[in-house]
Amino acid sequence: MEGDPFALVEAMTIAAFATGCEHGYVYVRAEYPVAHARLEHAFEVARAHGLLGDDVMGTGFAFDVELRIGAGAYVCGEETALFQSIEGYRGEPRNKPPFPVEVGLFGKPTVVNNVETLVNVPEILNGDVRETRLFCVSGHVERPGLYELELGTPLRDLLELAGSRPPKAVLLGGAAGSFLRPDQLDVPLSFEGARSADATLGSGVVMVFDESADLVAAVLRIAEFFRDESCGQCVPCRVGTVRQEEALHRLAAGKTNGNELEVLADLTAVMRDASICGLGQTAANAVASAMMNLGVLAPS
Amino acid sequence: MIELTIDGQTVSVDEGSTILDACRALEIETPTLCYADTLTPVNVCRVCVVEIEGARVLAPSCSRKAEAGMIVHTNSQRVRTSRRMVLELLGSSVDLSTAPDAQRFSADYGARPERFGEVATVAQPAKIDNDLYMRDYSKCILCYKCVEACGVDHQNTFAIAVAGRGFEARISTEFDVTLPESACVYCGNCIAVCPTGALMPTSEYELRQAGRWDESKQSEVDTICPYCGVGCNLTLHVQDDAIVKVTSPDDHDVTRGNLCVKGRFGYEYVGNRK
Repeated sequence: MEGDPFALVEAMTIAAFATGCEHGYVYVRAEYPVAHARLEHAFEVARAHGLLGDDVMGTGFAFDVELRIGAGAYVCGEETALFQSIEGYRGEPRNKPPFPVEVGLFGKPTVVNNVETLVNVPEILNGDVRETRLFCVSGHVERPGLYELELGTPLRDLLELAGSRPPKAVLLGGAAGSFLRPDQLDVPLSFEGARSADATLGSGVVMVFDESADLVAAVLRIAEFFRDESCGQCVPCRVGTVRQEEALHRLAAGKTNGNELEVLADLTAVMRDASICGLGQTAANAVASAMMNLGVLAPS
Repeated sequence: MIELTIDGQTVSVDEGSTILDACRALEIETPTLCYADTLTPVNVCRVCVVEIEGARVLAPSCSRKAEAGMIVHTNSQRVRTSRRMVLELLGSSVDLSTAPDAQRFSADYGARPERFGEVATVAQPAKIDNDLYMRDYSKCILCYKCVEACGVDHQNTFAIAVAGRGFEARISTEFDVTLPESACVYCGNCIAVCPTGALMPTSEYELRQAGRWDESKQSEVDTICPYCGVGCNLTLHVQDDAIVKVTSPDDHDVTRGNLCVKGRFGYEYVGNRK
């Protein structure tokens, strides 16, 4: 969106042409003003050149794009909460089914994809079939930033590219992802590879924690994040994320009730099984993996 | 008609029926808190979840449409664990002392909300800002029923909505103004759908505060509202020869449980002997 906004215009136009859409929306968090400015500029230039509008490239096909800016809620990245937000309602996910292709934005059938997926479309039509993904590397590395790698590249190679210090743990997939141990760094960065390590590529976030890192604080911070970002609509997530954070704080402070592990295991299962959307369903992932895989806050 | 299997029993239901409809056809008791026959399902409480074979997660039976060939389990370990924990999460954060359904389900599923220990709750002072009804949000499970009743499902007044996020989410008037300053028209249709007693007529609230509310001493008298020509059915709840509450039957063709301010609250003249 910042580096090549025209790629998104092109990709969305192709997707719209393929599906018969006349109107496209780009929903971007308020935290990315550079992306807003460059996208708006790209839309204007594309309109001026007849690449968007009532008659795209003289074909008679009509398509235009509108930028919508979020108001700070993480849950609005969930596709149906995103629809609610665009429609002017609270950012709350809808129950699925019906899925967006049947009942989506303003009740109409809707194609909804993230930007990374869409910008692959022109590449594929150009015959470029390399399977790459973007990885956002942060934490204890010399060169944090965005890396584009072929799917299947070992995690270790990415860490070398980014100048990682020897990690104590790596969080793969973001706040809803999983922690990996130092002996799991050969995991291939592919969907199957991640799955074989009980992890997920998720958002493509790779966060490195070296020996100096306080993993208990990191786990508490993730629990706090989900408690704060739960929209509050369904009970398992609204109250479950609070109970999860409370249990972790008790374990961290050594003021245990004696049943926190049982409570956390139940919360992990029930938030995953009974929450409405992906936020609640994955709110215990990173916490559970830190406890099971790294032994953080787990009894020795 | 479509045919599906629930807990090993085959059942045929009309197309468009929900799994809950199918469960009820089989007389399988399914707990619900945010569901009402007269409201659009919002599937937020998650106490009615069921397991559908082949599905990754559990599904809310109140809103999931039954599909031909579905194999549904309502009493599996996964279902019981989720239902029990939802009730524990509510019981540990909300005052359920005037919520008979939630209490019954909690007992049925062996919920132990005390197992979380000392935890955050939604306890707060009751809001008493008018003569007709009070709001005690320490008893609110955020089932959205009052919002639906105030909105497009019934009243189209839109005096209340959910404000805030996560555990801070709460039912609020616009800018949290008092009811007299809000768009509220005092129809009390929110009270009629509230499953926990968070919303209560002042008459009932005051009797409960005084320890004199006694449903075993109450009788119900059905009549027609005397005010206008619509002909709403009223159920008068009578205790010690006095009307203590007015409701309308959910299944009544005219009202579907709804009334206006006169029908629900304008009964004091009945007891005026002068």
